Amino acid sequence: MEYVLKTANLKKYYGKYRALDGLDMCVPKGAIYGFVGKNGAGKTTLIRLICGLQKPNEGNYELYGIDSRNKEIVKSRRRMGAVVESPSIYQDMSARENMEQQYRILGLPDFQGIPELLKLVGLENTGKKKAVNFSLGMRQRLGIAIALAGSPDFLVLDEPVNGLDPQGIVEIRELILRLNREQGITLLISSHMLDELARIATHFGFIDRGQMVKEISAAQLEEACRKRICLRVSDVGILSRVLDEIGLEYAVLSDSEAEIYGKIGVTELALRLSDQGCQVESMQERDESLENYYLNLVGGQLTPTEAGRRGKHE
Amino acid sequence: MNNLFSAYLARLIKNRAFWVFLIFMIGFGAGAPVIAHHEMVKYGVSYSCESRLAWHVMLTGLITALFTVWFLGTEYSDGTIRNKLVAGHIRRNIYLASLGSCILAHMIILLVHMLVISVLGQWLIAPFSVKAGELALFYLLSLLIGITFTSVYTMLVMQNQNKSAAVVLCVLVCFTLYMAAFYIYAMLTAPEMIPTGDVVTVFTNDGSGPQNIEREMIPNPKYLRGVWRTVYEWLQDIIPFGQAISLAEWKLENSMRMICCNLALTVCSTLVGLYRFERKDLR
Repeated sequence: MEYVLKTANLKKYYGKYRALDGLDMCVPKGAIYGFVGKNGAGKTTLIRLICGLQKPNEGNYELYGIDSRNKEIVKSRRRMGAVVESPSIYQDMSARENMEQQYRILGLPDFQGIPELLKLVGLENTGKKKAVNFSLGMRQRLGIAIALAGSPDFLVLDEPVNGLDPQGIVEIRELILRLNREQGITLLISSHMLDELARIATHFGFIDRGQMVKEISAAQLEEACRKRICLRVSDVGILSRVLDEIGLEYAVLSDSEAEIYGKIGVTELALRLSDQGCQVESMQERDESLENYYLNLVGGQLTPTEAGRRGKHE
Repeated sequence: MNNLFSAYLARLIKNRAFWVFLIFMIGFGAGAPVIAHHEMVKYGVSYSCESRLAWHVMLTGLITALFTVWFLGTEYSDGTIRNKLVAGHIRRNIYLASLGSCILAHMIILLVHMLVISVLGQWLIAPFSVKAGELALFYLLSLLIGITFTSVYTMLVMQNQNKSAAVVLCVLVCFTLYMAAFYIYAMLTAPEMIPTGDVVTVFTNDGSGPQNIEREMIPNPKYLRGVWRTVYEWLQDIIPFGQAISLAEWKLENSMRMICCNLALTVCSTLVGLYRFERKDLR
């Protein structure tokens, strides 16, 4: 598999504080990579490093196969666009003027692509309105348009929906999906809004205290989070036989516990088990929300709703 | 670096601070000879054109500080310096393009000002009484002082991601240099001999009336002599405001030394600024 970004044991210290503490991650080409972590986990620090704003203290990263310690990394960086922390736009200029500035910085020969880019992000009708008078959503979209100015194939967005209203969030989400599906752009999106990321990401990286806790694809995450019924029985061997007869997918956890996936007829199962002398001691339905999957990974507390729900069943 | 420079130039043309300072200096350049002419007509005072020419040099330091902070500080406050790095530009080129654009802005403001004041001054006051060579040297030193100020303030602004803090720092540096220059000037122009405090009145019998005997003159303890005088003279030529005072008095004897000091200070401040900027963690 081809990777756009790979990091190896990346470390960044600010005095005694370790913002990144040996981060390893891989962003596959063509993916929408959801970079998940709580505030202060190290998401923005990583983005600053790969954008060249700061240098790592230890470790390295590769952008399109070029090592960060190689001077040629600047060429790789020309293939990427980024919105780091907040949109980088001149407040006293209009949307078009900001785009023209970025085109000059990139050395592009003319301004022909600007109207299309502004239309792509929904800012084609802003005219001479200065960016200082834009709403937060408009500034976010202008920041993305500026990041797209050089036709990058790797786009880095640092918490792009922060502070947006629901409509703004939907618009950004649709834009991201369009960029990935229609233009094949690889995206690295950092966020602590799990539900939003779950709708669009194809890969996830969970970071905590400057280290990657887990990298997982969306398919694997869905597998890990799907609904299941947890059974505690007196004889797991009999349970396995019965489940095989019914044709249900299951996983044995121990000599008395198993998880069954999919829909089951509880009465039928209980009767069959009883016929064969197997007692059902407890039965719980569980589905792992992305939130709780993440909290279990990083060792956080269950949400009150989830805690309440589990308490009722146990 | 050409792309960066053209981007900065495009920004400069639209920059409100640039036009405000340019218009101010044009107004100042027009106002000085007009006021001088008015005083010459009304009060019969006599001025030379070159005496009105020198006052802008004292303003250069403050105007350069304010413009540099306003223009370059925006790159940090709006975060647009990140765009340049993500676009693949190296830090050295970003710094030099920033410095170059600020120097260009200052030179435009100063040259336009000097043109206005020179033309109006010759018309409203009197033609220049100094030689063309001296005038050219004066203009050159004025520009070099501005370039030196720009280099120093660029070094300060590019280290500081907080625009407000950068404003305070640059203005503080500006006024500290002002005060240092005036202190050095006061020390250098202190008289060698000073009178004592007593006045002796002598009454004679020859009918000539009371006579005041000249007070006794004693050496001034604050008068700089020897090595210290040389040190202070060098300091006056190193500090740009000190040079500005010399220019205001048309003291061009040490012009070569002033040119060398300007070049040295420009190069040093640029190298220090580059070194620190290359290693700075940006947000």
